[in-house]
Amino acid sequence: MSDSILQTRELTKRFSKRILAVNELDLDISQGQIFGILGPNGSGKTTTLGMLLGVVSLTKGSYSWFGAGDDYTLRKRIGAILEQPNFYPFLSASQNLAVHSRIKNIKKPDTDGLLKLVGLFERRNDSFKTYSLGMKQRLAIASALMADPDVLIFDEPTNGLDPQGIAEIRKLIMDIRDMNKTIILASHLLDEVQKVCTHFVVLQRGKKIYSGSVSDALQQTNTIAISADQFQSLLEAVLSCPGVLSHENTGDLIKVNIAEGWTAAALNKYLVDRNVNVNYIQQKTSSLEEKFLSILKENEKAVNPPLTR
Amino acid sequence: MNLRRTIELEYFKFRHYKPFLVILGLFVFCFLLSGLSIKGLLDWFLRQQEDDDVLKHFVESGLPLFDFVDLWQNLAWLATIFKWIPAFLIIISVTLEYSNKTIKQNIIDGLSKKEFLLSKLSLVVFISFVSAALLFLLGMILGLMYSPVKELSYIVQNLEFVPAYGLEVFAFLCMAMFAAFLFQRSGVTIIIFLLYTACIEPILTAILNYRYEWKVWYFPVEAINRIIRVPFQKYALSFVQDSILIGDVMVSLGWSTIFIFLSYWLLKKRDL
Repeated sequence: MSDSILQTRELTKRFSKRILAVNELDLDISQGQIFGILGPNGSGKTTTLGMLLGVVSLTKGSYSWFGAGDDYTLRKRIGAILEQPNFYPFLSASQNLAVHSRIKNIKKPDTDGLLKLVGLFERRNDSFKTYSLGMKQRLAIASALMADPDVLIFDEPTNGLDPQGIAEIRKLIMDIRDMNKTIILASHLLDEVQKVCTHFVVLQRGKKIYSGSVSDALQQTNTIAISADQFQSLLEAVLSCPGVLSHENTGDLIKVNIAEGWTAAALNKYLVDRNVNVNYIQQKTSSLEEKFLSILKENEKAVNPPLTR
Repeated sequence: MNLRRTIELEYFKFRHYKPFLVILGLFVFCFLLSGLSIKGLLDWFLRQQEDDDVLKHFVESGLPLFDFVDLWQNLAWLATIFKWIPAFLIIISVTLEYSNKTIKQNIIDGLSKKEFLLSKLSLVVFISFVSAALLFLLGMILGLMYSPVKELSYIVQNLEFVPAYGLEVFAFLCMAMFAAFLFQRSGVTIIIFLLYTACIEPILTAILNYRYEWKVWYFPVEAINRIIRVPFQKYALSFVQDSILIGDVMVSLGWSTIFIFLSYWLLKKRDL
């Protein structure tokens, strides 16, 4: 595959006999994807990224950036932040970016432009230690963008931020997505992955338990909520409908599961034909949260056999 | 690999770090000040002892401390006491990278572990060079002020003590750098390094040498201190090794290589 950004094969990290942080992970990320790595805390997200970025050694397996292997020079084409933003506290934003430009070997970095992009230009000469967490996170994003990288990696970018900070960071990530860059985003926030990502994997105890595109995961629902003025006749009509597999009466709404081939529109037409005036009908898209929890539940038994002593 | 880039990187990191610059400035200031005040201190001390006939004789004849030829070894030996200050600078510069996790970010941003080590090593070389240059400057000042002979041939004789001093500082700083990579935290590193170099090893080697008649030239601190031997017994008319022995140089270079290699091994082995 020519547009492969990242490929991992049997990527494994064992910290000790008991702690297997990442277990034979296979990932394939291609150009232009916004790839979410989803998992509860301690599921191996940061360890995985650490291995891909050369700060954690591999126990087993291999990875390849841009189809070119794992040489450290390839990391110059990646902009990454792991966990918290790490900078020299006594240097200002501009000076910290200057240090970074020496590492990336960029002769004339556009530090002012980057700082304007993330809204830190006014504070560029203040030392890093005076910044709020949100500002530190934004400087980290500016730094990650410095080399105009092909790939950006964010690890829990909104962790610990207030709602306004979260909104700012999300907007920045959306802006970066619009620059046609590949993004890898590790998060335990489903909502974040749902809003931002195109593809995602779910990790549990270092093992990949699901992978696919976000839209596929969200479409797999067949629940429709309906309400009508004449509630009793609605209930009767629903019961007689061949496309309804099951229903649930919540008092003011009826939730029905429809059979393959039926849609909300078809159901509506069926009800209108029987003189039931529907005043509310909506096909529910399951949130990623429901999907995620059901995936975790399905795998709970398989991945964690009951402890026996 | 780009050596210039690793040097530049270190320069960009520390040119605005005030504590670092203050310590470096104080080091240069104290180095020159204490050198320039030796003569005055000695004169004052000898004047206090006027009743002592032997010392009186010394005062009249004048100690040849600052005479060219003798001067380089005398000053180089006296200056060895200052090597702890640059050692602490190196320790701070390495442990700072760990406490701020900037070493991790450096690697993520695309530096190799080898390049990271090289950038720290460039700081070690730079400070060793500065130390040797300071010694040369001080020697020229004192010599031109107090030495009775000022011919070029005398000035350059025994000048090899200046690069030898640079080597001594270099080897010592390599050891400090290794300690910093080993312990990673500045407080712990400074205390253990100070205890080991100024207390544990000197006492241990003294006991092993005098009590058990061991050869102790291969201990690191001993080897580093051996490059420049104590010169002053010669004024009490006993024999003094007054040149640099190639063997001492080789042992110190050997230790430097070992410390650099061990630092690299630690960096390579550990996850960040």
